[in-house]
Amino acid sequence: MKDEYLLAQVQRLLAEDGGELGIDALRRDDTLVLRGEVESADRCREVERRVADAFPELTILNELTVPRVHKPQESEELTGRPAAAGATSEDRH
Amino acid sequence: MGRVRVGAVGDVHLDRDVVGRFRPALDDVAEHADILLLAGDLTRHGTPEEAECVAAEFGGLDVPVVAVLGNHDYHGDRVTEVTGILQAAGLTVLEGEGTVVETQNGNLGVAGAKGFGGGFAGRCATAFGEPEMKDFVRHTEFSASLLTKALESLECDVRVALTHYSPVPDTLQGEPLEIYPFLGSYLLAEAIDAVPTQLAIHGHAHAGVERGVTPGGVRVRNVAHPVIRQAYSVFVIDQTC
Repeated sequence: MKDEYLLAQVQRLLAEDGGELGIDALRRDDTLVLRGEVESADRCREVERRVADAFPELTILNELTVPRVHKPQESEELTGRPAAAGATSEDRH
Repeated sequence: MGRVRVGAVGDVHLDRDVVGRFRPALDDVAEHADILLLAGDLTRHGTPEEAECVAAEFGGLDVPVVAVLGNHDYHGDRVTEVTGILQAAGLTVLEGEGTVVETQNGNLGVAGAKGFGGGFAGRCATAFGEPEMKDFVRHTEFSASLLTKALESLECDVRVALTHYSPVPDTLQGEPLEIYPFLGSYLLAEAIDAVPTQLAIHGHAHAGVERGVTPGGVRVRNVAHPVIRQAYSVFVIDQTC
């Protein structure tokens, strides 16, 4: 199968069956690299299993990660107002 | 009037495997924020079972929680049930509506709508051709009109717009250009710029960046969890400026 069709099939499999829309698939010879973020370690394994079941001829390199959920360490202060796009220097004052 | 603290996160995609991950960081949320906004994609497939997970994770917090739904929350075609479960847990779910929350530093108004795609000025979809294409664009137009009406309805000290889809391309940098039309629409920014608004919050763009600004000068923040990489972000809006 052409790489482009394979990658499209992987993307649609993960989205339409698994609800994972943010995963990149990259072909390197006989290896399929999966990259992106999912919300749990279980999902990392689930995504790999789905792809392995559908494409048993491929070796899968699973590089999916799970974003952290720590408390915010800082806040962003929003003071003043940013300049509108296309504003002149006179508009900004 | 003083400083209103807005906590926000989107795209938490809860299911049973995620329940409990966020909660330790949420139990003292009142120390950091006056309100917590959820910018859609609260579930994975939009099922009632997943909504129960959201209710368990974000219900019963010591600050008001205000949410919009995202495309994932619509996938199961059970929006009414999903919304009902979240509301029963004390969450306020907005779709073309506004709500005002009293804080010790002033009244914060939140107008919420899911929004939709279509792309950005100069490269956007238009309501022309096949009925499917016209339906696509008109759904975004409708959502944007709801957002404007919701913003206009708010009587408050600080006005915040909450959507799932992005109103600007700024916060999509890092996403493939080819999918920008599926990530947001300039019509949402136009809706936000039509009413004095201090902050626009959205999610949906997992590979995007945090910060942007509408053509009218309203700050935009992408709070998709894979972008902010923490339980929630906090924005302090200083009304004295």
